Amino acid sequence: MTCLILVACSAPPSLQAIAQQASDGDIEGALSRTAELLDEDPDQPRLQLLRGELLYASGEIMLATWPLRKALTDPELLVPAGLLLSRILIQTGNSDDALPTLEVILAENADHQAARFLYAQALIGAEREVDAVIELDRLLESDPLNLDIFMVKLRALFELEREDEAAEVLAELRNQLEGSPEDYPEELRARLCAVEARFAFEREEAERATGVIESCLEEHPTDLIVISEAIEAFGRKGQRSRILDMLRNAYAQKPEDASIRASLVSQLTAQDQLEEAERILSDAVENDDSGSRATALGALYEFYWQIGKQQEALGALERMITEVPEPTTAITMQHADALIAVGELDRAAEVAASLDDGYRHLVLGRVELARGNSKAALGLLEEGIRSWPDNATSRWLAGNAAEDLGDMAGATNHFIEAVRIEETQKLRTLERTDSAWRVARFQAAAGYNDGALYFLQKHLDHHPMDVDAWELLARVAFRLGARSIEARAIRVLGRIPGAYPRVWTVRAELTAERRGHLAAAQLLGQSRLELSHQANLPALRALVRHLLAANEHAAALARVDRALLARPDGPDLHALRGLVLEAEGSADAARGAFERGLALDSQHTPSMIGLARILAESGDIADAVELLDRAYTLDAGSAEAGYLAAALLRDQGMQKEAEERFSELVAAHPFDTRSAVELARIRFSSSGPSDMTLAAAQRAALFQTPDALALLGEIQLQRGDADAAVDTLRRAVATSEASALVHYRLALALVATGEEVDAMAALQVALESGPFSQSEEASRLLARLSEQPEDQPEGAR
Amino acid sequence: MSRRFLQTRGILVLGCLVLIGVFVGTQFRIVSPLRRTGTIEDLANLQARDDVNVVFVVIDTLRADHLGTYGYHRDTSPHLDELANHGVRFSNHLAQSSWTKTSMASLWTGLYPARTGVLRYSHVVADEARMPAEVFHDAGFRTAAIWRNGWVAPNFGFSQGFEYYMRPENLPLTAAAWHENPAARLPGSDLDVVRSAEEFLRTLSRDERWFLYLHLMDVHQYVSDLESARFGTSGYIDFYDNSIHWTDRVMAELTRVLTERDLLKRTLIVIVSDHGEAFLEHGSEGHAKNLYGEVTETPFILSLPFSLEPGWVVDTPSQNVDVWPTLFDLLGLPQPDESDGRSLLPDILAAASGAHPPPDERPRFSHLDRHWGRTEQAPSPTMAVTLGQYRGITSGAKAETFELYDLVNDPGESRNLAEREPETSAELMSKLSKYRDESTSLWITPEVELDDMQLNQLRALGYQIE
Repeated sequence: MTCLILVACSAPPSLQAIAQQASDGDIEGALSRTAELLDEDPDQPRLQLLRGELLYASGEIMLATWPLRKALTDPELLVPAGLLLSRILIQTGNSDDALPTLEVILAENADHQAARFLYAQALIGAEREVDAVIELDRLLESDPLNLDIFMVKLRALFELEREDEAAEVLAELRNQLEGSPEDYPEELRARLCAVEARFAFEREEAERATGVIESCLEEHPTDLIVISEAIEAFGRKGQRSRILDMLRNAYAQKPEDASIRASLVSQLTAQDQLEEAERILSDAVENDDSGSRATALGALYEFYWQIGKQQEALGALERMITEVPEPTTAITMQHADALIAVGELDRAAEVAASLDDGYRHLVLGRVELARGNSKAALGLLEEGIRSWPDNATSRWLAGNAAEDLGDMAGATNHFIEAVRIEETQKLRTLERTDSAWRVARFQAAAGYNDGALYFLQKHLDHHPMDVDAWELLARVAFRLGARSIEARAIRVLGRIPGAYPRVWTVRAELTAERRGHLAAAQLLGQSRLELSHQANLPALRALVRHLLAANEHAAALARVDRALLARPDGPDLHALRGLVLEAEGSADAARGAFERGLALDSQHTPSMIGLARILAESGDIADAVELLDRAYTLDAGSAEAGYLAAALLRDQGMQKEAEERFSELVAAHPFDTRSAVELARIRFSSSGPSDMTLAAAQRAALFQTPDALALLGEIQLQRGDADAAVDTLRRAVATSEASALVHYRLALALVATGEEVDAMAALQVALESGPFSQSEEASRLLARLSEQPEDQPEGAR
Repeated sequence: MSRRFLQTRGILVLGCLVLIGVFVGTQFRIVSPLRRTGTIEDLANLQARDDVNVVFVVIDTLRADHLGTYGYHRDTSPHLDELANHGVRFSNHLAQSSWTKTSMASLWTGLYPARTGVLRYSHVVADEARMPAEVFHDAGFRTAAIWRNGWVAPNFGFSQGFEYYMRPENLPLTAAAWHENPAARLPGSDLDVVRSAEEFLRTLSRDERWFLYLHLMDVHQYVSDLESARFGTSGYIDFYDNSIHWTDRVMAELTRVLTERDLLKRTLIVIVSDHGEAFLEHGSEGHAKNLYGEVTETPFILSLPFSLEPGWVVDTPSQNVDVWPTLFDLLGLPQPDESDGRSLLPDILAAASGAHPPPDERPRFSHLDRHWGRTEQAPSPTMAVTLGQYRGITSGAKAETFELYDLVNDPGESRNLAEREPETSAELMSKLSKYRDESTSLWITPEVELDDMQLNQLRALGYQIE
């Protein structure tokens, strides 16, 4: 505001009035007035200068450059306009542009200290530090005690890596301060002290750095710059308790300082000393005056939220709301968040009523999601997102709602947007959702390995200990042939505590893909894992699975029996034994093993599922389904029991009930491709190629399995959409597992689209694959197509 | 479910949105352009007028087919449509690259990328290039640029001829600056470009002529406000369209500024873009990766100092290298000695009179070094030639691959006809070979080293620079 007064002193009356208006606090009004006057006549340099100063004061620093430049056209205004313009340009990183103006000022007034000081700073900004040091030395000749000049010189010397000279400057500064400390404010002395500590550390003089910081703390125990430097210095040495002591001391001396308090609470929380942190924050709430009590309550709310005490967080927030005259939208949203977190959904909806449409929709969407009304939730969230598109949490919630509804593509879309927002906003790990993982998991399941790789890496950047993610990364990298990524994923997995057995199961799985199941079993055999140990059960299961796949039943049984010798009461081992016996056709012995597993643990779901399979095989469907239902209730996280029960009902002709069960399974287990395919099949057989059947088949085909694609292709063909069918069935035959029937269906689709040459090729592949249910029709069709001349025009057929 | 809508930064974002909402609500006003209706004669007389100024607006990353005036099904651009409907619209226009720097070098110089030599991230437009701002400056115009894309920064040679070449923001503001002026606000959207332009105009004397270059970036960054977020948020296309609508309103604000200063009848507004944007049409998103239509077909619109009732549509194939030859012709300013483009004034006059435009069988070239951001790797050029209804695209250092598309029957360029139409393929390959072999840079291309901060600013725009 000093500038404005200066202008006012030497200005014509109208300018004086405007400057006075600004000095009285009405900067906006003063700006409007200057705009009106300049629109009438822009050639008023003094008015332009005033406008530049007003824009600067209002915070519009870049806009200020235009009128200031115009003001420069008046030689009398060169200095005031030029200095302010240069300062703005330096501050905004445009030092190069500041230099010419400052050079003009200095050419006319070489002794202008402020201009020269700005010039030196502009030279540093323009990476001309050598010239800057020369200018600064000239300044120091006439103003040897100016600490600001010294500090800028220090910066230039650091940039030039002239450390010895910087050390000399520091020593000189220290001498000056010690000689006449009363000449310098404490803030400046503390700053210098912190700079000395940092300088010692940069020169790798760690002990000296610690010594300096200790003496800084003695002299300036509550200075924030010193405290910040000390936290870093002690942290580097692992002296966590020293950090707490220092902060406790600072807080004791200055309990009213909110920054020191926040720093102490943050350190206490990080060091799990929660009671003390809570006490400090609570004391602050009681002791602070009413003006800052709201801030203290806000800090208490954040603290409770961070440590998971949501009810207490809500209490603090609601007290805070009583302290502020009019809660902002942000506070209201926080309130609604907290209410939802503690399950007070009706109150959350009430609170949301005061919000504007977009924000209200988001809160209500979240409430509906918590109530389990995913459809309503999705509608509200998507409406809210329209108003607030870059809110990652909203996207994540919408993704959850869509996933609940079985809309995997829609869910993935929302999750991708959430990741994008989190990346753009550079959110910290704690602030991020698990969206990247959700996308990666879906894309890996759907065969989009490039995308999965990208999102997995994004996820692992923030969750480097996520075992599931590293495991999936290894698999995805394998599919892409990215051997170095695969190797890295396995290497990292092996270093994560508790994940070592999984390294072997993953390696075995990839080995099986490369060299067969026997090689995988051999690899596991060489693992030196103690397979009878409970912690290594996944590895034993994998070994048994690979041995069975390689028809090595006896070896599998021997492995399980060896483990049973060490742990005869392990229900898992009995269930595994039952599995092996079942595979070799010993149903009675298998039944005995599963029953033994259940005897040891009446809620052992693998034994229940195994026993149910044996019961079903013997025709006891009702008991099998009952057992499977029990198993599914006990372990709803796995689709296995639910799927088997639904499949048994389907096989018994209970289509309606099976359809309902598969439908529920698809919703509850979005990655269970078998249930999705079965649901589509049942609908196809019961209601033909209807819209509902098509939707179910499209949902199943998201994961690109050959049977799902084949089914979708057939449905599309029956619906008369031959182009889509050809596209889908081509994708089906591109998989290595496509059956002769799928090739035949592709041929039918190709005939429908008129691509008969390709159709004949598909028929030949189908027939060469061996006999299948429609071999005869395929042969007849091939013969018919072969009879037609190839160059016959399409229209003639 | 213990997540919060308001993460730490989320609060700031919310604050910004609300602020933008309030600001926009108070700033945007609908202004009917007050210009008299013009004729062909008025167009021809432009050369003789001594009061015409130029606003040259580059809307970064704007593909033509997402504007209403180019047939888009969404109402993304009512204001730009209005300008086009009462001005001149070039319906079949191409940019010379899908990467800003290469494309802008061609746009300004009127030379194809192989002749500007500006193909990689360290390349600089040579001092020898005669830039339009220099022409304006020499003709007595005040020249100013307000830009927000780091690829047109002055160290890349784009500031030649500009008296003022400023970026309305340059993050980060130093701590000292905040300390000194806690109220300091750094602008963050294209609206700030327009406000800055208004402030520039406020400093000009009545009799001064001016040339103002505005480079808008919000479409590139998919920025929009609450009001413009009207096309949904379910994917990148929605965000992109929202940001076009936002930018359209920013352009309306520019029109308001000109109208209120009574400048509209003395100003030629030019709207172009440097490249388009892909949405997986050919397997990739964004731009600067290939040269298909979605990233090279851009708008070219002229809003004259008078209104046309109705506007004229020029269907002659045009391209960004034609833009300045056309503008110089319109304004009576000297043409550059070297140009790969030509003036489209005869085509405008033909469109105005309803006559058939003169036949134009020029091949139009686009060019991208796909390794523009990888200093360690050899060039990997991809070049496209568009001729008649066909587009041919070669890729690889020795043009190892060739694709041919029929743009009339397959505007999405989904069916490669290279093998089915060998004669057309041979003709287009020959054109591309000639372009590749015979086009050399007119100057020795200077290079510049970027510091970490500059590189990071460019990376922040989404570019991959190694």
